[in-house]
Amino acid sequence: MTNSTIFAGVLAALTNDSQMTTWAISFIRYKRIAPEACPVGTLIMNTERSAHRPGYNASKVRDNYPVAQVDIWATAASETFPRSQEDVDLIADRADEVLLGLTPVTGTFGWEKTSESSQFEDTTSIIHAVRRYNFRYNVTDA
Amino acid sequence: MILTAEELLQKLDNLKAGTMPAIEQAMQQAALNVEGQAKKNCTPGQSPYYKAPYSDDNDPRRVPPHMRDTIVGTVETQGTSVHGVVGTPKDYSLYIHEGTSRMPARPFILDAITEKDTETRTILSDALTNLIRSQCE
Repeated sequence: MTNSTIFAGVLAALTNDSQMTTWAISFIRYKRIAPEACPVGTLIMNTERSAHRPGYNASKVRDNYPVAQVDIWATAASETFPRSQEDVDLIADRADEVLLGLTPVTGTFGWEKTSESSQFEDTTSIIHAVRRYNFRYNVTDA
Repeated sequence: MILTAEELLQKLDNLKAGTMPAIEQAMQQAALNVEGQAKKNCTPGQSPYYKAPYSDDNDPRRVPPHMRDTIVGTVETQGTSVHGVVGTPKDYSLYIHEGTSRMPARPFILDAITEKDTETRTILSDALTNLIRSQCE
């Protein structure tokens, strides 16, 4: 489980972005999404590896390597932006700019994008874009 | 070791000729390594996810074989570019891997690639090291 401060920092970076605010896209922790809740962005941490840094016995510092997954959800039934795959990809591209930008989320470093994909769910008419990122942060054990 | 210019050129030619086959062979080994981890990620009891992506054998809607058993690692070569490819032909695997509005993602392949990243680099670098050493003897 990713450190809650780090998770909140990533979530805040996405939510507080001025362009996301202009588009009225809010970000929440991943949960089941109903079409009525769209458009919305969600954040979930897929996996997290942890390794003792050399000299751990003295420093108690560990390096953690989570994979952050950002999902953008929109419905094709909407009459306003975002309502198409292009719109959703545009928002996902903005998430790239926020997370891979020059100013990393406080306490994190080494951000890189690892995958991207887009799907359309026939049953719900939900358009879904997925972006995944690797990054690192340090933890100092007591 | 003292080599004549001809012998040195011959060894360099051998290196050039041996590089692609060595990398292809190592990439196949690395792809199999990732394939094994991806299958492990889909196995109940060994999967890191809240629920392993492995359907119930008694589910009448299930079309055999299991997705886990269709995961395969292969190598694709285009010119001087060698790609290791790990995937499954099951059409619903994308939705399991990427998640849906009703189901959290279980990225069994991407997690396997990440998990085996260091081993993959070691396999590839060892193959090149061995090739170079073979020409230094």
